[in-house]
Amino acid sequence: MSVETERSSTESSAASGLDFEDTALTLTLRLPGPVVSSSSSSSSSSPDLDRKRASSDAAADHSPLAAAAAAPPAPKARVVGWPPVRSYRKNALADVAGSSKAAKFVKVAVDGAPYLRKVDLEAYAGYDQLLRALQDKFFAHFTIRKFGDDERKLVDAVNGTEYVPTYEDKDGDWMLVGDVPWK
Amino acid sequence: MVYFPDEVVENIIGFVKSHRDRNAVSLVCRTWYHIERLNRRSVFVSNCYAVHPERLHVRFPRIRSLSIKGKPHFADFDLIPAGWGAKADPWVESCARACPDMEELRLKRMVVSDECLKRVACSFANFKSLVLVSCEGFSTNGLATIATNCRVLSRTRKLEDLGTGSFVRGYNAGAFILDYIGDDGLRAVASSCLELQELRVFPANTRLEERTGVTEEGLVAVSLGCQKLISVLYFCGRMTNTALVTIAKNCPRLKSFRLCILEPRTSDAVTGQPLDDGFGAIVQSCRGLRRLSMSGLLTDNVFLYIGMYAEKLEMLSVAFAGDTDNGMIYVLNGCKNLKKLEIRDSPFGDAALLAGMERYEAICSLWMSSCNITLGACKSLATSMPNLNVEVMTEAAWSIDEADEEANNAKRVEKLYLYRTIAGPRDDVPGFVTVL
Repeated sequence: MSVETERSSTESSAASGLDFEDTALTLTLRLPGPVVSSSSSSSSSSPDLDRKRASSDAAADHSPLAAAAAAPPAPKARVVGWPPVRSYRKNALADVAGSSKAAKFVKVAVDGAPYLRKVDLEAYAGYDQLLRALQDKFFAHFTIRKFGDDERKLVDAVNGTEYVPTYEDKDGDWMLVGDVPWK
Repeated sequence: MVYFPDEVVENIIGFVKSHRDRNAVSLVCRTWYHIERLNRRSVFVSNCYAVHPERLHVRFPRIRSLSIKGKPHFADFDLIPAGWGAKADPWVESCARACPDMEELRLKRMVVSDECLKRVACSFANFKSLVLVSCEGFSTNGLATIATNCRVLSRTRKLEDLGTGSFVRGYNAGAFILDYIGDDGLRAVASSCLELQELRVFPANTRLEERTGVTEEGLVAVSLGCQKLISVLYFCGRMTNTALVTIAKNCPRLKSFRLCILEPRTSDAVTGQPLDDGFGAIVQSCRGLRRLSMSGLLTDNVFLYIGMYAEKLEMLSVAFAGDTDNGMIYVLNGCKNLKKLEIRDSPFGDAALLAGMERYEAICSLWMSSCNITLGACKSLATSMPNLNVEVMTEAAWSIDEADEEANNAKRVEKLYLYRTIAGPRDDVPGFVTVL
């Protein structure tokens, strides 16, 4: 645990040639090393891992004055298994808190599928869930008749052929209607 | 009591229900041991690797209810890779053979496959209750076979389905509360739920950079209003020694106190001091405390207090705490009732680990991860204590059998799990685990 946080930050900011954020309310710390972010004004949101570690050490050492003066804290390093909340609960909490997050839609293409799908990456807590969702989207449609699935389908009353609505997007790909929320 | 016929003793023993008491009864004398074991209906196995399933059935041939725990507690927090073990199959198999009248199975942190569930469904004619807590490896298909085949089933409960979100279950039961209610919400709880016994406040957002939610004030308010509190689990952004002292004074009946300050090593929010004195107050005041989880900035002093005062403590969880080996040594020497010790990211080394050598058989299990222990110390412990399984989780980079033993022994062990056992080393270790 670093005791000399202030000293090291001055050293490192000199070494890296970066401006030490001199606003009264911000306490920023950097370890020596390259800083990724190009926008210097947002140094407190730099994704550099070393920075996060330094600032989390600093948080432990901070005096009450610094604590009172510090602005919204810099992003902290993710420690494995901390805080100790079981993953199912994290997921459930995320669901509850959830819809305020901006959606992150990406296009997914599968060889042999007549059209592409869009999935919202923010809707899934991990790869397992994402893969299951993709499986549902692509393979359920072709191999197993999903009972009560909510894909919008048009059924030709005469011959029973099913149609699904698609559209061609700006890339020239055929996309299934309905993946992206209307709004 | 000596001249009572066995049937009378058995009748009396039948009124003794708790595992603890039953275990005590069995130690009185040989006669009572045999009466008790034949009369026992329910057994709790706190570590599935501590004993062979067959041995259990030999001693207790007439059980109807079996509870088993598998992986160590920190498995809940992604500290144990998949495939570690704790499969339910050997237990279900041996129950199926020895115990066709089994009515209840309760499994916690075990790997339960659909095939295993099918075996349960088809093996026990009177099966009534299946409880799976933090288990994995099964799907709804497996649960469906239980539901279809067990005609007398009264209760299937996969505790992962317990709702989150805020609700208060009556005035006596526990409360599940998300902290987006905030300190004010907790004040409301404090004024309306005077009989509250259990409180759990989870962080609405587990990302450390967003410090919203409850503070020490919320918990102090609840402690003032709900003086019958027995169990607290509290995630918060900040804490003070004063608050902890107040909580300790208001709730001397606490049996379980788990405090998680979200940012590791956070000091007293007002004074900047370590939180040693606050936790010290908790263990001094709450004489019946059985379970303690600590967080925040903590020096060796807090362990001194725990060793001195926490006489009834059975489970201690330590994270990012302590300065020297002394911290761990104080606890090992002091807490005579300790059954589970789990430590992560703390600066305890070989001296501390080996200081507890004589204690580990009484302490059922020890977990240490991201500490300062070396392979050499673990090996030496394993050699001296044959009734312990000493398991280390190896990193991909190095192997146990490297030629240069001295250099090897100096290597830091990232994860150590040791536990007492009469079953010998287990035979289902995955590649990343070595039993020393």
